[in-house]
Amino acid sequence: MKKANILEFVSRFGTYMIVIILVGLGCVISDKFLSTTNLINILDAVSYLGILASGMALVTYCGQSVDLSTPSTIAVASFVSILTLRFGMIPMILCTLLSGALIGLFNGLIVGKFRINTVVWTLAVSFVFAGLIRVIFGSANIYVTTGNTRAFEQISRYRISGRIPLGVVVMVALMIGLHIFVSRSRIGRQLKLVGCSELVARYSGINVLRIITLSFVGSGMAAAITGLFIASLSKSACYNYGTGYEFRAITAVVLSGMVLDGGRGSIAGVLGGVLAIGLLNNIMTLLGLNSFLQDVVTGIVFIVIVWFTNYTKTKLEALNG
Amino acid sequence: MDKDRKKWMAFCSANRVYLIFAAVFVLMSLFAPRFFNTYNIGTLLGTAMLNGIVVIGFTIVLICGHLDLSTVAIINVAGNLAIYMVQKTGSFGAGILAAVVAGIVIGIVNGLLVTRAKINSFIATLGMSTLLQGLVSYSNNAATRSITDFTMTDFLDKKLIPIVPNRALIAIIIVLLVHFFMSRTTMGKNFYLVGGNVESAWYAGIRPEHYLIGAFSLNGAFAALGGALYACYLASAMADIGAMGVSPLNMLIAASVLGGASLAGGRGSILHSFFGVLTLTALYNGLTCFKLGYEMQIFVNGIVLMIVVLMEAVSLYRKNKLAGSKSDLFKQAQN
Repeated sequence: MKKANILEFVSRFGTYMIVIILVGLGCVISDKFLSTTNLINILDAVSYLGILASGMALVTYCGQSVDLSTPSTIAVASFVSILTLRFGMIPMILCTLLSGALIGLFNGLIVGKFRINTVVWTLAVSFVFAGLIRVIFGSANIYVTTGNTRAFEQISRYRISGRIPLGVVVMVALMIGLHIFVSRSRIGRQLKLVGCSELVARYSGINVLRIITLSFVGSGMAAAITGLFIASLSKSACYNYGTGYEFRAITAVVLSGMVLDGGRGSIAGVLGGVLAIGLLNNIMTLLGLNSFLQDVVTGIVFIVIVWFTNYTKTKLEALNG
Repeated sequence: MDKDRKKWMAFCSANRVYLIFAAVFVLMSLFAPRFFNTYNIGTLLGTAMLNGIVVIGFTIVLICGHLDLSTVAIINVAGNLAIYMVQKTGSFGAGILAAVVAGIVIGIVNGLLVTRAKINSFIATLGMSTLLQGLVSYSNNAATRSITDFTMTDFLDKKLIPIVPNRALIAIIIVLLVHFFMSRTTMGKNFYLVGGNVESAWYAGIRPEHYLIGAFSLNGAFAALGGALYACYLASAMADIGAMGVSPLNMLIAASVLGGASLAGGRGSILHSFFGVLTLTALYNGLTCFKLGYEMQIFVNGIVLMIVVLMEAVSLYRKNKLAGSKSDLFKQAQN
């Protein structure tokens, strides 16, 4: 019984244990690690990833594996934000969110209705939108020219009371909001049930199509927010701004203890996963590791952690009969 | 009348990829300027070499119901290793052999991660991909390796039989051999059984994990062979081939889905996947004849993939919706 308790604890709080281990490691390695500037830098470095991952986690939680259309959604959102800036800040933000929501709606309706494999479908959607942007704008960047340029730049540069970047605040607020929504609300519980077993969900009268669509809309909107921040940071929009983000977000989601079959884990865990990535990168940079070697280490750590999580899960299931 | 129509429909869906290929080829020949001539068709077949060889292993993994995201990283490892070995030893044979051995080792590790550690193949190969790509980039600081020995290039460019360059001939021979193995031998058919239903495969006396490890190592071997041959042909190897234009991974998934493979496993055919590659290559080649860049290629790749997947899903949806209804039972009774 005791063993079961330990395993249960590990499988539930495993992500935070990794975070604590990494923080400990960081303290040993460098005395600069625990300075406020460094800690804020760690958060700042992963804030866009965190925003994206919290949205994608909804799709995974709902049992739809992963949303690979996010890179294109990020790119589309960055273009929409710059093109609509001339109408003012509020309409620009609304239009950007709407573009993400529409792509999510499109994905969700098709995947939910026809039960297409999510990986293949979202990949196809990703090509279509990336190709569309590249055809229209000829693979070139567009820059901020009209509208309130200063305010647009400030989205990614503004620091609350001069210290905490807006991106971090948005990430933490989004995570807290989504965590409460998923764990406390009725729709949140329906998400979990659809993730655990779609058939059971359908037979208990849940509108499965609506729930799946909702998760994709959430993912699309989160990607749109990420796109807005990236556009503001670089003061431009380009077709490749989202490249690579999808796999990093998947890494964060998987490290959080969510399984691709859905129904497990929590949004708070995703924060842990994102922090683990941030801490790992920070420690390796403090050690002065080459960025390609950082990739190698990230790959190894990723596989080992997933292996360990799987191991505890299977042991736990064996103990519980 | 109804029976004829049904037969026709079944024929169409079984030979879908050939029909799409024929349609693309005929349309491009009619409309694309300078598409239909021996030189361009030779080029087209030659371009299909890399993806044509790599898609073999990729399809075998798909047939087993898994996805290997590390394929592109294996291509890069193989290309760089082959060029490095040629630089050191001066022999192309040693380079290609080393690359294929490395590919098989990577494949076995992938297979062990999936079967022994029981990690979802999507995640295991994603981690593997990050790791390998990091290694390749680190080994040469993301620079392109190149050699000045062009004997392999000349050999692969020669035409033993008219129109078809040697590199396409090699790909076609390998595809036909593996296709024969997968569709005619018991061992090949067992891959389908493992992908279709692991449990019944186990009851039939097959060791599913052995076949899975086999599938991943075959994927490693073919990805490495394709990558090494391609690098020797170009006499150079990029650190990341996926960063340029249409990534091979996108092409591989689109081609095999076009050829009838499904991510659920148990379905697919090597020859069909190869024709999927040819179709997409012909499409890209034709678009280039219209002087459209790879912006358009990515867009068209997406549209084609979308339409194929959607058509398949809608027909399945209709079938499921009708299943068990009065009209469906009536139809079954009639047959």
